[in-house]
Amino acid sequence: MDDNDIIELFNERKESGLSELSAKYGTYLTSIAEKILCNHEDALSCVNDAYLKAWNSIPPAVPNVLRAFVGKIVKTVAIGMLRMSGAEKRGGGEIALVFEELDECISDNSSIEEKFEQKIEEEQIVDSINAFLKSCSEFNRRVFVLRYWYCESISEIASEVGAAENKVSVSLYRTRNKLHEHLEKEGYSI
Amino acid sequence: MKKSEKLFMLINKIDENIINEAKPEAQKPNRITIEKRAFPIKETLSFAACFAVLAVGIFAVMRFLINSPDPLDSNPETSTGVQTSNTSNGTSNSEFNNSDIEPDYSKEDLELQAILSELEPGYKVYNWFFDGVPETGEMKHFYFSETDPYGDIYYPLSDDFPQSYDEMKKLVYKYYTDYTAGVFMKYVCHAENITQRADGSYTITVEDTGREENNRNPTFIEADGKLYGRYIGRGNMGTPHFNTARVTTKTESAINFTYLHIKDGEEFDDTEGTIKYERGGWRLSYYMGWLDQNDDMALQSTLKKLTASAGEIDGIFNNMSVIDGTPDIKAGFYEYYLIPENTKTKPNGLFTVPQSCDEMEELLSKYFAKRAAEFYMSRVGKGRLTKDQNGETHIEYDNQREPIFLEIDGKMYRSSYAWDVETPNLGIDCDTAKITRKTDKSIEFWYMGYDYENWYSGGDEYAERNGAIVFEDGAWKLNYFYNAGFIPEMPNEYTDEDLELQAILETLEPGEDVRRLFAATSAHADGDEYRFILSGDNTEPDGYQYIDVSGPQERVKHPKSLDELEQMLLEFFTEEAAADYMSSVCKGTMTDNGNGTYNVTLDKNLFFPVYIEIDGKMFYRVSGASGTVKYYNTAKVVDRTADTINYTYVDTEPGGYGTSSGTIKYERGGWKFNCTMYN
Repeated sequence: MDDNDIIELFNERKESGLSELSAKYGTYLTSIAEKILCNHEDALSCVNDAYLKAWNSIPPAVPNVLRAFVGKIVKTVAIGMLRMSGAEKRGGGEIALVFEELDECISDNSSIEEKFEQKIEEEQIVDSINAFLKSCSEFNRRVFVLRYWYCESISEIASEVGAAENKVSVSLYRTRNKLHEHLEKEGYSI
Repeated sequence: MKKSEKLFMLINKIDENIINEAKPEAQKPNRITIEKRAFPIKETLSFAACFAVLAVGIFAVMRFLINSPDPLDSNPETSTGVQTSNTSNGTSNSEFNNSDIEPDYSKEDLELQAILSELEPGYKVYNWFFDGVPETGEMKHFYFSETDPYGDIYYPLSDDFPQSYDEMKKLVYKYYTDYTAGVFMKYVCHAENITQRADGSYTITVEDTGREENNRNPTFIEADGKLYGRYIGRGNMGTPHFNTARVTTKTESAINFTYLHIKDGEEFDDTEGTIKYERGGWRLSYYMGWLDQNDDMALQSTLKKLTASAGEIDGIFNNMSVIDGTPDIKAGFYEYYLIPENTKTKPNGLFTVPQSCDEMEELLSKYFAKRAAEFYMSRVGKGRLTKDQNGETHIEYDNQREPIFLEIDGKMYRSSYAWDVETPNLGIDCDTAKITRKTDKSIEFWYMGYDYENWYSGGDEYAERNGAIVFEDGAWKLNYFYNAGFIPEMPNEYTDEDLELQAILETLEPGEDVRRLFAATSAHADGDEYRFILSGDNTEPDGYQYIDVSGPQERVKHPKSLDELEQMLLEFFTEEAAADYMSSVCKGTMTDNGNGTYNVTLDKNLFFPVYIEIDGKMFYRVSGASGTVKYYNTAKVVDRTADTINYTYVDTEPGGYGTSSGTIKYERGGWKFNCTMYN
């Protein structure tokens, strides 16, 4: 079923929209949750929660890309579950590595810490990150998103983009540095 | 919430289009009408993996072709078969008109879909093999040797199916291409001897066809005059949607098509299939091609053929040493066995034993590319017998090295030393081969190869390798495999200047080593470990792990200060390259937090410096720099000035950078290597 049709079912408050969503993107969403939670059962539970949140969000929300929209919800729920369980402290899965790497993008003594706390700034920072990503090469952007959005391992990314793991690592390293510079330049870091 | 987690959550909110583009949704075919399909999708999801596909197709064709007019074989240009006319997009043939089908399938596509749909009964046949325990007949537990602890259960095929190896072979080759049939028949064996054990199971000796897989777990075994199918070995071969098939390209001898395939919930809409014209008829080649699997499988088949050839050569050589029994001549430590002329051929008659250097060169050049043949021939030489003052016989070599093979007075000898030590072992695991790059004249690939040297020293038996097949003299030939102790030299196609450059690069290895040693994780055990919190605000609970490398380092030479590091770099690298590296190190001051962590204030604004010098001590970050394998003996000079040499070299790492470039500059009284330290 077309994404628009699914959204229309949501808008009409027809629960078949959920089953259609599940049929179309269930595997995809579960894989996202599994990357973060490292547990299939937890991932299924997470995706179910995400369906409910999507149901409550649409309407009024009008997803631009339904797949990514619900994917975001899944990630948010998954991070919440992870935080609840304290699993990230165990360092399991890719998520701990992802956090570690993202630390590089933030200056130690930056004011970004404070700005993060202000909701009003968040949107601007996201816009800034969007602008940054759009300025990156297609390869670097894709690798970055696969790593820090999809939380895929280096080897998985390498396989997906058809490049050596080393090349992926180098790309991520450079993009992280550039993001740091970009955030600094934009005034989100000193 | 940690800062990184906050950033992670912000990244979570990025543009949905960017997210979507990074992991594109598999392109859907114009329509999928799974519920209207005739064949049992769920059942097919449990099918075994690769040869399952073959079995499916084979018996599908069998059913289809036996029970109906043969649309493929009889006349490929008739309307019942696949038409050879050009496609007529948007035109629907009434014969194949189907309300499920979108109008943008061409008539040709629809015909193909109809043909493939007719082949569906094959799946049921396959189910009979792998899902259905026969109603009659005794399942047998076969062990492949007396000592084999893992036997497999087989059951007799019903009378509807081939009852012997020969019957199955005949059937398969009737409807399939040589390649597909050959792959399938690899898993069909004949058991020579059957012995019943005390527990009722059977010990069998499987016909040795020279293929390793046949000696382990064949899918079918002809034993005791009956054909048995293996009961285990299920996999998930996925669900092919043949009603999505589209003809992609056609030649006089092949019809290529794509269709949707679902495996493990993932949809692959570009799965490739082929029907080929062979032996006077159109025959199904193979259905399922995951990405480049078709190419890879063909490559693997070729490699097996080629390595079998190489193995035969070595086998002949080795046997020659054994057959003769006693050494014929001695030359110092080395003993040479005369190769008897009466052992000219192996039983299979594939090769003629070379009786001279020329014959050997001819044999090698038949199967191997020039480079590989030249390398092997560097171990083959001519010589003559001489006698010293005491009347003892010696061998005078044309070259200075003791060759494996030696031609003396028109006769060929083999070194016994080579038999013991230098038996070349190509050691390729053909099934792992994957094509990494193709050109008109070469197919480069990756594979797992034996690494005996490493294995003997306690490491892994296998290692990642690169190989190539090159097109030479009108034929595709194996270029070379390399493994430990069997690295072919490069041919003399390099100029003196190139060789000089390579020599320079060789001399720079210490510099290269310095860089690699910095990144060597093996250094960790040699120094005390510290947890540095670089932020200074205690918001980072774990910190970064550094090791104190200021003390004695037996295995790894770390610099004792930043100044020393800079000197080490400047010794081998240009100022630019050294400065690049030095920009990633700094000094700092440290305070002990008392809980195993230390707050460090840096004198530079670095995220995580590779080295930090604190109070005269050097600390090295555990996750330091990484290097890329480079093959400097592929270097070629591009241009040269009085103080600069620009060159290219080839990084043959699979998926690596391919051809790269570098510069050597004359600085500070010597030629220094310029490079990007982290790449």
